[in-house]
Amino acid sequence: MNVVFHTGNTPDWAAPLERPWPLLPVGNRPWLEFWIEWCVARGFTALHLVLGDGAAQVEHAFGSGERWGVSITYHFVRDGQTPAMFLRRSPDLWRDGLLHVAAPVFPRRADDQPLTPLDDATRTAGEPSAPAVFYSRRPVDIEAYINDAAPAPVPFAANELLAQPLATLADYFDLNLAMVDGEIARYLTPGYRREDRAYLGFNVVYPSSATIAAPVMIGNDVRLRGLATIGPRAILGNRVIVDRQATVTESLVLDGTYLGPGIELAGRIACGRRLIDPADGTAVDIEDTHWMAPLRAVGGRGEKLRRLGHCTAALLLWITVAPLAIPLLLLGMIGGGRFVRQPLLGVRGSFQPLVWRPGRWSPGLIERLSLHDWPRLAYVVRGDLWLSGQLPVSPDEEAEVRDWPAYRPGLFAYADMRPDREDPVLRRIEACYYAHHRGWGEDVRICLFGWWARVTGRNHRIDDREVPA
Amino acid sequence: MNMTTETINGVNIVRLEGSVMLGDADAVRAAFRRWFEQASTPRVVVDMEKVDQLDSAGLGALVYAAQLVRDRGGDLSFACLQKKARLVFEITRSYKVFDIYATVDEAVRAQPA
Repeated sequence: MNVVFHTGNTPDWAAPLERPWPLLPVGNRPWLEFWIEWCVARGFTALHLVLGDGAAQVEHAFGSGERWGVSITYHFVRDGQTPAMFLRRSPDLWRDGLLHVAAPVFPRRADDQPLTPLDDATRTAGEPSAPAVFYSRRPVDIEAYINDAAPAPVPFAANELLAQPLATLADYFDLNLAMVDGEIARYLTPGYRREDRAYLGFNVVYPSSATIAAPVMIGNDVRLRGLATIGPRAILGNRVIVDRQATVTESLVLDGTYLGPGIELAGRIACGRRLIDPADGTAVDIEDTHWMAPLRAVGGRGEKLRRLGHCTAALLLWITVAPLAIPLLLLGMIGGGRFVRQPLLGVRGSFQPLVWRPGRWSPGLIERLSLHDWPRLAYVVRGDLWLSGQLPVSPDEEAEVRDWPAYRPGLFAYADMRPDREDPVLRRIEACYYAHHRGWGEDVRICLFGWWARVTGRNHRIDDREVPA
Repeated sequence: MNMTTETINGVNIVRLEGSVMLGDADAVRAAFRRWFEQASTPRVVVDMEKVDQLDSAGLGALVYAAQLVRDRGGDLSFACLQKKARLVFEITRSYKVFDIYATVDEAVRAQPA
């Protein structure tokens, strides 16, 4: 049995969402993933994806299909080629059985009962003259179908396949809200932790002042800030930041969206800077990054100037702090303190900066005032570190760091402002947050607040991780 | 950004046209302040029919205008918000602070005598 999906024919109503239909999130999971799991449940493992617009995105998202235990083969269609024309290119391939999904329909389940096995009868869903879904194991029917001769249609039973056409943005929005209302439980385990109808993904960080009102679905790497309210009936995608006092109810927020302080989203779809009214499909681009924006990635324009600024500031600090740092560090060394080399992943790869280890009689003032970081300012000047950014990780974590939206190892970091500076989940979330908020003001803020947290002792002792022998 | 004014039934109508954004916000504030210093009555309706873009700076200018009017004991309301401006008012919760009407006539009638 071969399964063919035509993925290049994204419907017009989905245009504001700017992604091919297989990747449109339904209940926070890509639409096509529901189809793949439907196929897996029936033992169909040979999948063919016919690509059009957004081909690279689709291929990147589904890969070889190994994740689901299926094999995915990718094909391309030429402009103007219909799904049937594609099938006619190699008719022998489909002779033993064909499930053809020619249009974007959703494999909805009527209830949580197991799927009924499909027998050998030919079935179709959608318009009889141009079915959205065609299934058959009969070579005669398959040949007729690929030659545009309509076979005698037998509709799918409800627990075989409920192929729901989504004709408008409102249908799509309603389907998502149905998912958050609990329909998601009818499908295969999505990998979320379910607790009181709150489906939370990995690395979701929120302060105690934030409110999560079920039912709600929150994706991976999401950060909520103080007094934010999410739900009821809200879906947040992956890598979403909801800033202070923002409220999201009865809404769908797509991956990689930033919602600014105090924003209220009710009955809307947010997709980067685009705000969509699902009722009539109106989409407006909010031209204000304080309100809504796609999450930024670091780099690009201004990076060289920023590097110069960090180097200059580090050099000035190095010179001005030296009269205080040198005598105190010497005193600390007399008291048993020492500098050791510790491998870290820097801007240009791994390097071994000097890390202070206090002795029994070393003045505590050294760490409180961050004077132990004085030699490290040279690494900023040299270009191995930034003055402010994220906590540097060890070279062993290089593979993980590659997935982060930003890795800018700095002398001062968000981690300095909290007690648990080594928390791996927070580090990842901060990478998203830093990528979006990075700017001159944010860098200065990290330096000042990080330094002040050290002075007041609100964080752990600096550089307390184990040094390899 | 253009700003024109007229008076209907003793209520000042301020018609804004174009975008009210970062580059225009200061001009809106200044123009409104200059006009309002000589306005006969502190009852104002802002006609937003031809405002096609609005950002946080523009909204700040409108809040400033409302504050000026309220300081003189008057009332400022908005009329004819287009979809984009309406969505901005909605997501920023401004609709809770301002009175918004579908037409200028409605807004004029609702102004306190």
